[in-house]
Amino acid sequence: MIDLCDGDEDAFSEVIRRFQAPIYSLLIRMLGNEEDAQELLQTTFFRVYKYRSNFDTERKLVTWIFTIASNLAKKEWRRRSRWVNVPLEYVNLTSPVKTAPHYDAGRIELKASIEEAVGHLPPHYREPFLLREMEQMSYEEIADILGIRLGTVKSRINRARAHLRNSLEDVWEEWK
Amino acid sequence: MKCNRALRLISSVIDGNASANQQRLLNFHLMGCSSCRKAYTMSRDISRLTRELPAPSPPATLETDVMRMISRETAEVPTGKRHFRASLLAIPAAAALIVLAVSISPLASTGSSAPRSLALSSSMPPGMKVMSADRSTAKSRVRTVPLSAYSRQANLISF
Repeated sequence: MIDLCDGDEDAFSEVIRRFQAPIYSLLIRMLGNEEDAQELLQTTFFRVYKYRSNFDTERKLVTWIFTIASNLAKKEWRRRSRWVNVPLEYVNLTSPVKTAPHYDAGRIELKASIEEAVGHLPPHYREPFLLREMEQMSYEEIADILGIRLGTVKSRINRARAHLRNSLEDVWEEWK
Repeated sequence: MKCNRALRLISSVIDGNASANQQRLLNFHLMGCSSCRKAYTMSRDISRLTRELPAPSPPATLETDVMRMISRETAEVPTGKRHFRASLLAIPAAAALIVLAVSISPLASTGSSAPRSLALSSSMPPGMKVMSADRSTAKSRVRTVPLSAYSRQANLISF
């Protein structure tokens, strides 16, 4: 990070290589389409470089970068003025075509249903849930990234799980 | 333990944030409550499968695109700085013009029109008298006062 603050391009390239996949995964699931996600991914790293001197060394680099991406996503939601549902149908991240050799139709179907159900969660539940499940972040890190209290993180993740249980009950029963 | 508390604890247990005592209490509740047991199993499965969801591949050109964005921005900065400097210079210039305008206005108004000079009569220096609008008579009757008296007043007004 010190190298990055000094404007070292190799250090910056390393930051991009290390964080591009998790940031893109979050953005695409938050925004629901590849085009917007790619644009915001680019802007995220541009801002990391531009504001590298503002980085507080007390913070973790990962939480700082996720905060930038999360703020950009929020700004995009406000621009779209639709906070409720960002459908993921056309993203098609989990398709039956990408099957493993030991084909398990039920499992694939449940995963596709989970992907869709997550896409229908309200954004303020979806974001902490994705950070917890996809990035395996601690509640403290999520609170830091989203700028909310620890208790709020816990309750939002709990509510996200309750939403998912309701919407996936039938598919889960079949799969079980 | 009641079901609503058990449901709240499920998340903490799945995420490994529950204490040993909380975990023991939840297990005890789950043994006797089929609906909470189902909620726990479902949440655990959903959590596990969500972690297995594929990570989409970011565009291969990302690094190049970001570098291009940065070089475009750095190329634009000097122009921006020039504009910024120009605007910084404009502020004191505008302030100086305002001060000048304010300091000149009492002088201009005394000789030009009667109503203005009447309005300004209260702010005039002692010894100065407002004359009639007739310029020919006024010229002969006006007593001159040193310019410094006006400029002092103008400074007071402007600051």
